[in-house]
Amino acid sequence: MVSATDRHHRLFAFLTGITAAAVLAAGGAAVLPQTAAADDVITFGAALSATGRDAREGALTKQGYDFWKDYVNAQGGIKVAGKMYKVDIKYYDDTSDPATSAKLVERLITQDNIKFILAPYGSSATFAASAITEKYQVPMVDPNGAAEAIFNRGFHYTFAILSPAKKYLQGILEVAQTLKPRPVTLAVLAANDQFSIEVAGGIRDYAKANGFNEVFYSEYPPDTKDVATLLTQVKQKNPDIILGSGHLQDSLLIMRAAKDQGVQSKIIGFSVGPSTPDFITSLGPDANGVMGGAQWTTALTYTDATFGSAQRYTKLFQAKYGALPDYHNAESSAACETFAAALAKAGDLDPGKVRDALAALDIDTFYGKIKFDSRGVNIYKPMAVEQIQKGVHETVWPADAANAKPLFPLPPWGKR
Amino acid sequence: MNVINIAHGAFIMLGAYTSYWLFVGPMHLDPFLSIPLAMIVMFVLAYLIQRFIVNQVIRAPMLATFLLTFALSIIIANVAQIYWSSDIRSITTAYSGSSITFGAITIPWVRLWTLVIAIVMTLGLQTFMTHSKIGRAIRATSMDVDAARLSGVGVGHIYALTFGIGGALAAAAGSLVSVSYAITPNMGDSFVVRAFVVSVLGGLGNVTGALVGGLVYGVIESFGALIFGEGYKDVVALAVLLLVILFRPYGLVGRATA
Amino acid sequence: MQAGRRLAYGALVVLALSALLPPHLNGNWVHVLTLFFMMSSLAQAWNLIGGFAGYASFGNVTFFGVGAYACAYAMNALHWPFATAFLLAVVAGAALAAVLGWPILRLRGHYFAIATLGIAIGMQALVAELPPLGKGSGMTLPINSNFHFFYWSMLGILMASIALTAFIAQSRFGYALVAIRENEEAAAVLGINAARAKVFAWSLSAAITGAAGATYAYWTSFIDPPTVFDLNFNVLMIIMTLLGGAGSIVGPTLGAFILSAIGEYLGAQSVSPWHTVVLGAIIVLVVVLLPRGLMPYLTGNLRAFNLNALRAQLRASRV
Repeated sequence: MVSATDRHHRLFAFLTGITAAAVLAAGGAAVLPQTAAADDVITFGAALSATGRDAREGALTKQGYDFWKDYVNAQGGIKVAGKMYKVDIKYYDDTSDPATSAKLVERLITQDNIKFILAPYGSSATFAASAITEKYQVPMVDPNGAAEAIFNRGFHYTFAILSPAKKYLQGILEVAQTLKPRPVTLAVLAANDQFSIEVAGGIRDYAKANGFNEVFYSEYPPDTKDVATLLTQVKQKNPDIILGSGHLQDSLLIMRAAKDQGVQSKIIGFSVGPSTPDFITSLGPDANGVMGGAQWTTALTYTDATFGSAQRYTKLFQAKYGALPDYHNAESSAACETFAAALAKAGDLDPGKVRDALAALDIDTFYGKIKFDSRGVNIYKPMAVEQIQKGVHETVWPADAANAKPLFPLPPWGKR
Repeated sequence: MNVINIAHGAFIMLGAYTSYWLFVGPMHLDPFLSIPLAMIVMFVLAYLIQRFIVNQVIRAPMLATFLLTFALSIIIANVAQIYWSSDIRSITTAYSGSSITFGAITIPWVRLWTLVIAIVMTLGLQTFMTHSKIGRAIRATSMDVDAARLSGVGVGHIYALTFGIGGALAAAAGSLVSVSYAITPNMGDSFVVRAFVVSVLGGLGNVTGALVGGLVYGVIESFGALIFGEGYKDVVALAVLLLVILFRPYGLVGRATA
Repeated sequence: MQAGRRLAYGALVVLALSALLPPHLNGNWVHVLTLFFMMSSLAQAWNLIGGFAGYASFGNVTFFGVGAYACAYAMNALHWPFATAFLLAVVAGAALAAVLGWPILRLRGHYFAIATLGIAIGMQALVAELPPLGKGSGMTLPINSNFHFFYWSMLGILMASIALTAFIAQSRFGYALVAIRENEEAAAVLGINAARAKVFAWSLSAAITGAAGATYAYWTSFIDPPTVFDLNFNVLMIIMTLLGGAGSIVGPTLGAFILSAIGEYLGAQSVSPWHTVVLGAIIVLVVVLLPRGLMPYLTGNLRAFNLNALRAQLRASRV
């Protein structure tokens, strides 16, 4: 028989054990030798949203990064100063929280000794991470953080390959100007967050300068669950064009509420949403005719040295993942490619030299030309416009890359 | 029952996924028809969770159950993400988006049916709670556990039954919202806070109160949005909540003695 | 309470010594410890109202957000130095708690919890509509990349909050709070001005929380409503306090330490959602096995700490 004292000792040991294990685990990580990368491997680091609100977008970003990594390694790696290196990417989960992103980027740099950072998903997280990369003077290439605020702080180590937020919806109004009869009245709905407000601000300025008449503008809380009230107000104004600046889930909510309320416009478009496969699978035929600003589309004709062309990228990606790449995938792969180009140009693994090489870069990629201004924003990058036609993404703008004519005006609900 | 169930949102999510899988599966079951199935599945799951986990701490300070259900909710949401991925899914039926018009008022059929089902369930639950033997046992347990036990009520079973009924209703809510909202592993988070607010508006432990609370909350949000702007709808709704709690802490429907 | 105080003094000595660490740590560990100090301070602050007075506040994150925004506004728009902006944040937090506390602290149990939850969500929505505070786009603060400064600031806030708790625990005010928690009507009979004591406790709690919020804002140099009014902060304050032991002096810090260490260990291991699942499972185990937290076992006499007592306690808490 086991005595009571014996039992309590055991229980005490059990509890102290749990505590001690946790403490040791954390402390042990602190004193263990820091990750020693093999000589012939270059390791990039990224804190991405694997869980939480942005898990879907984080997964798309990771797919883009991994696709580049596997492709390049299959080709033998990347060449820096005459030597071939394999590439690797170390990931952490930032749980869709910008503060955690910043913390994990600091961990990647100071604990894992990683000198090249691939940005997290989203403007807020990239914003938080940029302060860290700046402090440690480690270059970061950013495929997903489009808010201009990131680049107005005089930082030197963050480079964004994508178009800034204020351009996201401009293409749709450029298309609208070519249509007959020309649509004039416009309603803008914007989520009340940094990125979406910048997008909305850009398009409202553009609309004013180009003869559009804004009849309705409203912001809505970023985590909104119901936009029915908003859409009844839009219906009263009966605008020719409805533009939504928000995120995938908001775009879906607005589409459903518009149908529920029978809101019939000639054009409807979103900054984020239509380009993802989820948009079409969610809405079915109702997705037809919807326009979306896209950083990249499979119809663009850019070429490069790594993947060959946008078409080849699309084909290889589809073969590997069984789905067409959306622009989040493409811009993420392109960010890696940009880093590799800068490494080759620098001919050195020193982060400072790679940073200078990024600043002076001027290259063609399957994603488009890449050259940064003094703030680290890609100056060449135009936005494309996609429209969903018969359940497929078609590129309708810019005109020289378009593979379909815009469907205009939108057919009535139920006939799309 | 004095249990703050943070996992309620996760139950809603599971209900929505149940309807989704039945909809895309070979049976192609309409989400309104899959409500009973989703309810049964979640009733069993919630019953087991309460019986074997939450009952262990039911008499500890109120916050212990809060903590426990919070932990359960992150476990459920993340396991859902592991098996079903973070892909956004939705159910689009033939009648999605069709509506009925009375003059200037447009009401989507889906919302109308949702309201009808909510009313039916409220009346059903109300009847069950007042007239069935189990319903009386539940009310007795919620008033005084020890007295209930002494009068021969198996309180462990009753707690689990109550939790199971809560889970079943959450599943029904999940099936209903699956027609209008994107289905993701994290979708429950934003419903759970509103569910708390609504139940306090109506009066805790008051079945019809919850329905009234929900309607009042929705109306306040909409009018708040119309009058002050879309961004103020939460501010207005929560200001009203505070006033109700301070001046009618027993809810809009309840009586001071209830 | 004697043992609790000794433990508190021990903790203060250890923390004081940890002020010497930053030059010997890499950026990652400075960051991790700074966050740990911050979360501990938030949990210590929550303990004053939730642990001592027994009022489960789901709205303490409001003061974190208000402190962060007060600091951001003072530094960004008024160009105040951090020290005065910090003071503004402390005062703003305490004042808000006092104003809200008079009506809200009359509520009990679930009603108080839901009312404070409503305040947290409503305040976030309100701040997101105010143009001087940058609306939903948030605010930037001047950049200070001397991260050791934030380490020491958060450490200072934590030590102050532990010292304050130790002082309160043996003061008449502390006894009043415990009396309120155990039986508010009886406390009133004993001549305790319950309303005043509760409001004062919540204001102290809010002052500490506001101080942490201000330091956090300056540290990250960018805030927006969803990050500083994040309800997860509030949930963490509660979990850490309960894990360590509500109503004890350094229990919240102990809870914060254990949870941070586990989170840090798991978060560094994998990118799959499993790490969150494991964290959830650990919380379930802790709650079921130790529904009253760890602290009673560390400070009570060891006789109380045996399996029979644990069994009795578990039996009492289940049905």
